[in-house]
This record gives sequence, C-alpha cells and structure tokens, in this order.
Amino acid sequence: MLANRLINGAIFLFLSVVTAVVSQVDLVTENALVIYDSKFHNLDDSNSLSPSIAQLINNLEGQYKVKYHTYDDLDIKLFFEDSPRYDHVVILPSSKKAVLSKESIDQHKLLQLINEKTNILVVGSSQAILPESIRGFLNQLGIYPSPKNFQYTDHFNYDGNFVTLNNENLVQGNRVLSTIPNLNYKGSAALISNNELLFPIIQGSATSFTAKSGIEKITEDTTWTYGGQGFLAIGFQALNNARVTWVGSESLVTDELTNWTFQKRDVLKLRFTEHVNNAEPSKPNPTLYRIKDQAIYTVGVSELIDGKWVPYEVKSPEDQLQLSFKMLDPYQRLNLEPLGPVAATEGSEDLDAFAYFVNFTVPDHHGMFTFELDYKRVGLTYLENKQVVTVRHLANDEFKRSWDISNSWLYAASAALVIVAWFLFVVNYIYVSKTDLAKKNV
Amino acid sequence: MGTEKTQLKVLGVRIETIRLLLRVIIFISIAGAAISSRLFSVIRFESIIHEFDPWFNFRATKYLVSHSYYEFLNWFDDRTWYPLGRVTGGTLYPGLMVTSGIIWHVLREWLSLPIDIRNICVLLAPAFSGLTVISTYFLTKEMKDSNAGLLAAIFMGIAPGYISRSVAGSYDNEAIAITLLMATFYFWIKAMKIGSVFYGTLTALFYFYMVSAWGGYVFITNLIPLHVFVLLLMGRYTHRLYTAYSTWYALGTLASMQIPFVGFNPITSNDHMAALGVFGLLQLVAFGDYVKSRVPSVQFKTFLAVSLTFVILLGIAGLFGLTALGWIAPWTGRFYSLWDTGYAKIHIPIIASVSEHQPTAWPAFFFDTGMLIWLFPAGVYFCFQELRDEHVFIIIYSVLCSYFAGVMVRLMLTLTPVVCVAAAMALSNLFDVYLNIVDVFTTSSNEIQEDKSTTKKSTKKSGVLEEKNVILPLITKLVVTLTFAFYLFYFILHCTWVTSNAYSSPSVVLSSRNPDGSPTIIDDYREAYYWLRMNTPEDAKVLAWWDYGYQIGGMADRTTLVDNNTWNNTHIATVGKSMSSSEDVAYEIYKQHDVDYVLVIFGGLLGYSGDDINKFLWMIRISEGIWPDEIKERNYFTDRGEYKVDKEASQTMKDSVMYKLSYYRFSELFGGRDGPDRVRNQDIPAADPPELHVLEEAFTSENFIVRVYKVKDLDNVGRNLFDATKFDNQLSKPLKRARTIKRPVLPIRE
Repeated sequence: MLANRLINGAIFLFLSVVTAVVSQVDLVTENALVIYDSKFHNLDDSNSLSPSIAQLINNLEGQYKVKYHTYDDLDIKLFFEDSPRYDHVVILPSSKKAVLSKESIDQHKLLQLINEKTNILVVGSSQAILPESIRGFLNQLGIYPSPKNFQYTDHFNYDGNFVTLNNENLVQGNRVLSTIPNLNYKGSAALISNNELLFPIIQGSATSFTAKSGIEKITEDTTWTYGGQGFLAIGFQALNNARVTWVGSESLVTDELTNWTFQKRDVLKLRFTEHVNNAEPSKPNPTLYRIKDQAIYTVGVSELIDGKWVPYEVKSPEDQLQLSFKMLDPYQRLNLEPLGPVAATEGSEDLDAFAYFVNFTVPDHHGMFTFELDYKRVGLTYLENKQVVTVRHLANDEFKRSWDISNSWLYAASAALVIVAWFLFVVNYIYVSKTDLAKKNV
Repeated sequence: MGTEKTQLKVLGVRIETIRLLLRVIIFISIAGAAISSRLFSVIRFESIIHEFDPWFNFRATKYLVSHSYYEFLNWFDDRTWYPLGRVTGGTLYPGLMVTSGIIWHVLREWLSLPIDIRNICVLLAPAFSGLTVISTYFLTKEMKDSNAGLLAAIFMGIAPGYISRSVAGSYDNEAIAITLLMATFYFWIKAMKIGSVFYGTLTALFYFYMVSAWGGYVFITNLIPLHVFVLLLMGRYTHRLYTAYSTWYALGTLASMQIPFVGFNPITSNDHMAALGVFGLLQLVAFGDYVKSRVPSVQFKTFLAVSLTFVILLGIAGLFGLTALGWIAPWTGRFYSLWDTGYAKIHIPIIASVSEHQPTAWPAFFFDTGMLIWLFPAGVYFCFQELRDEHVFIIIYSVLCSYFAGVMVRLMLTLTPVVCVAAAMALSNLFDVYLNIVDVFTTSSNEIQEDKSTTKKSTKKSGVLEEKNVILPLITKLVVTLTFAFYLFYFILHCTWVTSNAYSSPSVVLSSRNPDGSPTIIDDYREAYYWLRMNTPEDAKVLAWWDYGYQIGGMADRTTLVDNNTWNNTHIATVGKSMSSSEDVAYEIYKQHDVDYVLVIFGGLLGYSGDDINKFLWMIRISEGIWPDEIKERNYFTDRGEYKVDKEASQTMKDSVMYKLSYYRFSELFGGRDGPDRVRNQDIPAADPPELHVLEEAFTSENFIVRVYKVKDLDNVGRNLFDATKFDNQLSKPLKRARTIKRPVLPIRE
C-alpha cells in the first residue's frame, strides 16, 4: 500500500516539474564594493595588509568585479535609480566618525540595500571608529558594537597582547564557521538584541569583558559587555535571505565566513512544490479538496555547492522539513519524508534536487486550508511556501445511501409496513366490512 | 337580489360582464400603480442592486445561472468567512435565486430574450408585488366580498410598509415572500372553508415555496396551528378543518424538509413544535368527536376531562423533557428577543446591533401605513361582529403582528398585509352603506308605497318626511363619502411621497444636494469597491465590519472575513476585536487571518451617520462577549461616561484601530486646524494626529466615506513594525550626532 503511494508520489513528481521554475546559476559576474580607510588599509600595497585582509581581497578579486572606495570618496553610489549597484559590500574599519558622502551612505540606504538583497560584511576594530551611519544601520538589525578604544579582554586567556579564542567560543550549530583553532584576537565585541534573525557565531568566554583600553578602574560607563553577553562574530539573515555579518576584528575574516556572507554556500532553493489529490493523480495542485481526501505534498530542494545546484539531503533529524496543513491553527504538522534525488526540470537527466513528500488525510473539517512549508534554520536560506486550497463538505449525493446504513432498515421497514397496513385497511373498509355494516343497518 | 341583478343590462351588455371587465381593468391599473411606484429608484438612480443582503442574493443568482443547480446546491463559498468558508448551498433559502434563474432561462431559451440577470433581479420585486396584489384580493374576497378585495388590493399595492422591501433593486427574500405569504393564507382560508384536500395541497405547495424563499416561513408555521387551536377552543371543530389542516401539515412539513437549510428543523426545533402539537391535538379531537357520537354525553364529559388533562400534561412534559435532553433545539435568540426586547442587548449583541431588529418608534406605524392604521382596528372590529372562522384568522394575525411589529422594525413588513386587509374591510363596510345612493331612493319609495297603502291619514306628513328622508341621508352620505375620498386621495399622496423620498434610495449610492440646492450623487462606495476590484490581487483578503461583507463580495469580488450572514459570532467578534484593540493586537489577527486590506466607513467629513464609528460600540460589545478580559466597553468612554472622539476621548479609544483608521490624516484636510466631525459634532484635535504603524493608507474615496488600508508585511530585518515605522519616519530628519555612544539596555537574549 505504502509502496504504491510512494510510486504514485514519484510519478506525480515528474509530472509536476512543469510548474517548477527553471533556474540556472547566474553566470554574470556579480559586483562587489569595498569601503575602506587608507589609514588602516593601504590596498595599493598588498604587502602592508594583514594576511586575512589580503586573503579577503584575493578572494573577492577571484570571484567578483570589485570596486574600491575610501570613506572620503564623494562618488560612492550604492544605487542606480532604485536598484542596487552591488551584490556584495565589505565595510572595513574607518578612522573618521562620518562618511564624507552623507547622502549615499546613510543608515536608510544601507537598510535599503538589505531589502534589495545585497549582502554586507562589516569588519570592526577596537582602534577604529564605526561611522555613525553604519552603526545606526547595525543597531537597526540589533547589533550594538562597542565604541572606539573598547577592547575585548579575557585575563584567563591572555598572552599579553592577544586574547586566545578556541572552539569553546564558537557557538554550536552556527554553520558559518566550523572551527577557530587557537586564534589570537584583538578587537571589539558587540551586544545583540533579541531579533530572531540574528545568530551569534563567536561568543565571548565567561571570564571576558569589553572595556575602554588603558583604564584601570572599570565602571558602568567604561565597559560594554560582560562575559557571555559579548559576541565577537555575529551573523544575520533577513527574511529576503540577504546576509549580514559583523566581526569584531579583521583576524576573524576567513574565506569560510566571506563565502557564507556572500551566498556561496548554505544556499538552498525550493525547486518545486506540488500537492495532489490521491484520487485524481493526473491533476496537480487542485484548488479544491473534499474532507477526508488523501493528499500528497511533494517538494524538491536543491543546495548551491561550487556554483551548481545539487540535491539537498537533510542529515540531522532536527533539520527535517515540515508541512503544516492549517486553517488558523495547524490541523496537521508532519515531517516530510525523503524520496530521493530527482530532476527539477522536466526531461532533464540531471538529478539536481532532492524530493521530499508526505501523504496525509485531509481533516474532516471544511474551510480554506493552507499547505505551509516554513523552513528556517540558522545559517541556511529560508524556504517558505504557502498554497491556499479549499476543503469542501460532502455534496448531497456523497453521503452513504440510506440502504447502506443498517440503522435505517428499521425505519424503512416500518414505513413500508404502515403503507401496506393502510392499503389493507382501505380495502377492508371499502369492500370487506361493507357487508357487515349493511347487515347491521338492516 | 343577486338573481335580479344578473338580469340587469346596460347598453345591451349584461352587467356581470361589465363588472368582470371593470374588475380586470381595475386589476391592471392597480398592478400598474404598484409596479410603477416601485420604479422610483431606477428612475432616480439606476438599475442597481440595493443595500446589503440583495448583493449576496444577486451574487448567488449569478452563481446559479453560471453553474448547474446541482453545483449551486452544494456550493461551498471560499470567498467569504475566510478562512472558515461558508456552506452556502446548504445555508441559504434558494427560492429567490431559483425564481430569477427560472425566469432568466425561460426568457432566454424559450422566448429568445437574452436579458441581463441583473435586470431580472432588479425588477423581480416590483413584478411580484403585482402578484401580491392579486393574492391579497382573493384573500380579502374570502373575508368579505370583491369590493373589499379590490380596496385591499390597491392598499397592498401602494402601502409604504410593503414597498419598503420591494422597490426595484431590493432583491431580497421578502420581495417574493410576502406574495407567497398572502397566497398561502388565501389557500388556507379556502381549504379550511370548504374542507378541500385540493386546496390543502395547494396551501402546502405555496408553503413549500415560502419555506424555500424566506426564514419568516415560521410565521405561517405558527399562525395556521394557532388559528386551528383557537377554533378548537371555540368549539368549532369540523371535518373540514381536520381535512385542511392534516393535508397541509403532512404535505407541507415533508416538503419543507427538502430545503437543506431547514432539514430536520420541523421535528427538532421548538419553533415548529406548535404545528406538530396542534396536528396531534387535532387527531385526538377527531377521535373524541367520533367517541362523542357513539357514547352518551355524561360519559363523554368525564372521558373528555380525563383525557384532555392527561394529554396536555403529557405534551408539556414531553416538550420540556425533550428540550432538556437536547433532542429538540431550544428557541432561537431572535425568538427570545421577540418577547423580551432587552434580551438581545444583553445576551446576543449581534442581533441587537442590527438596526432593523430595534423596537419600532410609533410614528413608523403611521409612516408605513398612513391612514390605514386607524382603519385597521375598525376592520378587526367588523371581524368580531361577524366572527366566521376566517375572521378569527384575521383577528389572530392582526393581534400577533401588531405585537411583533412593535418589537422589531422589520416585522412591520408582516403587519402591513393584515392592516391592508382589515382596513379594506372597514372601508368597504363604510362604502357599502354610504356609497349606495340608489338605496336612498329605492327604500324611501318603498316606504312611501307602504305608507300610502296602510295609512291614508298622514299623507301630507309623510310627504314632508319623504323629502327629508331623501336629502338628509344624501347629505350625510355625500359628506362621509367625500371625506373618505379626500382621505384616500391624501393617502395616495402620502404613499407616493414616502416611496419616492424614503424607500427608493439604493443606499449604495447616496443622493445629496450641493450648497446651491442642485442634486448630486455621492458614489463613494462603488468608487472604493471598484478600486479594490481593479487594484488588488484577486485573492486579496479584505477585513471590514460584517455590514459590508456582501457588498465587498458582490461589487469588489474580494474575499471577506465576515459578512451579513452572521453565522459565526466568534469570527465576527475577532474582527470586532481587531478594530477595537491596539495596533499590535490587531496585527496578530491580521497575520493569522492572512488579511491584506482593512476597510472602514467614515462619514465624519460628509455627515453620513451610518458609519463605523457609530457602529463601533457594537463591535466593542460583541468582542467583549468573547474576550471580556481584553476588551472593556467602559474604557472607550470618557470619565464622565460619554462617547467622545474629540480631545476628551479616552486613551483606549484613541489607541483603537478603528479610531486611527477613521481619523488618520483627517485634520490635514482643514489645514492643521481641528477637524470638525459632522456626524458627532465634535472637533478632532489636530495637535495629536493618529499614527499608523502596521497599516498604510491605500485608498480613500472622494468624500472620505470609504477608507482602505493595506496591512504591512513583516519587517524584512526582524524589527517590530513600531520601530520600523519610527526609523522610516526619521528619513527626512537629519541624523542627530551623538557625542558619546551609550550602551543600549537590552533584554536578556533568549
């Protein structure tokens, strides 16, 4: 039975891909912008750069058309008309409190960049000033980096110049960084708000604090974070999947981090979604179901790896995809079961998506129900899909017929009996008993 | 007398033929008057469906003619009551739609007249009023004679009480229901009079039609048994009554159960128990009657006393027992509110909130029936005088309906027919005496002859008397007749005036006058609904108070959350809650219900009093019924207990979404001065204008009557919408540069 359904599901899957959006990885070179301050980074002289920044520039140059601007450039333009000029923006530390070109880089413009799906990497530093507009922008996301001259300190892991970070500082399950073996850290830390879209990557250890450097006495005004409330690297993914990362020091900038921020990995795509009534497998995505119908819901998910869409297979049970069938409240909330790699485009030999499906009974309740897939995992692209269908009641001729209901036999029999009895009575009254009456009357 | 008259001839034509001809001409004139007076609305405005419920009926009719009857019967409507949906096919009275559907098909397929279904719907009510006139004639003819019938017919044709629900465009169930009501009553009287199974069957047939057309059929279901019951109490049991009632009850009940919305109500609901009880009682009485004819009267009396007590006790105990067990549905709320006018206000605000469920103000009686209202008691008096079985019916009908019409405005509609019938009887009695001038001469000449033959002495005296006898009655007759002719003339003026001024407005389109006195049309509703239709996605969900649900569905063709079919009180209360609470609470409701647009009606600019702020208290009361902890009516009043929207308005009032949506950017119209609200005669402070965070203005109609707001999406970067809006509003202001960066105070991260 189940195998049969599985096969059914698989067949409809292939039929369904007509509706799936065909998409290839974009081959056009993406644009990147680096905003820097020449006091800190002399990008013309690659030898003067720290290894991590050199590596970052290297990485960017290898993949994108990169443009460089200092904070003093007046011709920084983030937008052309209303569309963003850049797909990725790197903001390096600044020595000045303000950006010279105020109109082009202010907090509203930066937020608008995020709304237009541009990714931003912000690199902090304990010596540098975060320009007002960038600070304001980060504050909107819920990231509150420490001001200039505030330094992350941990006397228990301190070698006199650097704080040593190890894997214990790494937040489990963050997906962005997998390891930081004994990293020497000198930089700032940030507080974060309760924004659900934020996730910490590196957390300060319990014995750490962030305070104004060179000050003996620690007071409320001269400290920024205590212990685990300070974060050294923070990731953020907006609802439209634009990504922002903030790191407290350039030493944390690695290829791993850059690639995550600039959507080179952990990028998922919903290739197709389809629901079908088991009774009518040839009609995908019907708008009308009947109560207690069998419905099959199928999705295909791909992951971007090395610029190619490959099947995304869920490894851990915590990351399972779930379907809700809801009307105000979920009537069904089910884990999707893996079906196997499939081709997302019809007729293609390339098995580039992984199919998941679930087979369930539509609840015995009519109304407008939503097939809702809401997949939000830290560090992964959000997958969302909503399809409203109508679940109707039984039509007047879809109930059991009266003779199929054994209870009704009694009533039917008694009705028949009354009719027969009445008929007999009439016959008796008119023809049989007439003679008696006549006799009596006589 | 009758046989003499048949032989009378005028110009060689038999007088009966002339009478028939005259009757037909009168009928045609009456029907013409009835129909044409209902066309004011089309002439003043246009061929448009009126008000609220007709829009649903119209939409359902369109569905019926574009789908099969089977699909209509099983129609599950996914455009209303989102996300619950409505089992529309099973919860409507299909009679009206099916009638128009049949007319449409007949005209189209048999007569090759492809008439737009809208025009059929608009003109159905006037057409049926013509039929009402005929059935009223026959009913009254059964009560008195055809003279009274003709009078009743013309009264029924132009009485404003009936016109109010049957002008062109008022495509509502009542439009055909009154016709069926009168037809059913006529056939019932006929059946009861002659004890005919045929007429009993016709009664049942029309009863079935009535059941399929209007929920008010319960009135017939109770009135006929009551008539029978009273006749039984008066000791007027006959076999004719038995035959008529049993035929009607058995066939009518079985037939009514075929309407899906009625279903098993006739045997499970308390509203129908009277009919069942009387049916049972009638069987017992029939049996008693049989026994009576067989046993001596003394024994029969004991038999009667014992069995009657037993039966009544058993019946009452059974009714209470079954209701307590839940086998029989208790009386509905609407029914309770008929007896206790305060009941609905306390227990079911949703019923009390409908203006047509309010108690009637006394001028309404005169307004709706004119001079008939004072002829009405006279007619009932004449019924008492003669007191035949059918007169008992009119008496019961008038007593019941007078009470009901006093309790609920809308039941004025059921009172009007009996007022017309009774008034026609009274007036016809009057005219029988005073209009008969021939009598004066004939009787007096007879008297003279008698006088002459019997007494020869007083020939001179009687001659004097005779002259007086002719002139005096003539004068009195002339005075009375002319007076009543004047009354009738005035009555017609009154009816025409009321019809053209009060009952012909479609309420979708409002008429008004410019400052210079020239007439103007206010068409904000259609402007806004059309905007919705053209500018929003087809599956957009619009949240509005339930009054506008049918109109949005019919004119804007968008999904609504609640509509005038108020079947789910909780859902309505949810909408009420979203209107009466603050923005963040409302936003949760919007997101849960996938709301895209919010629509409010605001009349403050124009002085249109039927707006949402005036209905707001009902929204509060209805949602308070479900969430007494969150919504409290008291909080919306000022400290002194006044309902205020100006600067004295309570904070809860100012924070409510309804207040904000109504007065958003209102004072901007007045150049920054306080904006006068012309409905409530209060000034809206310009100093503290309402700010919106979770909604943004999408559309406001020309006169501000309809305002549509769009629900904002969740913030892309995860802020709450209050912070996001505050941030966006800073856009124009220069960034304040902080000297020192302060450490933020943040809650502990979860």
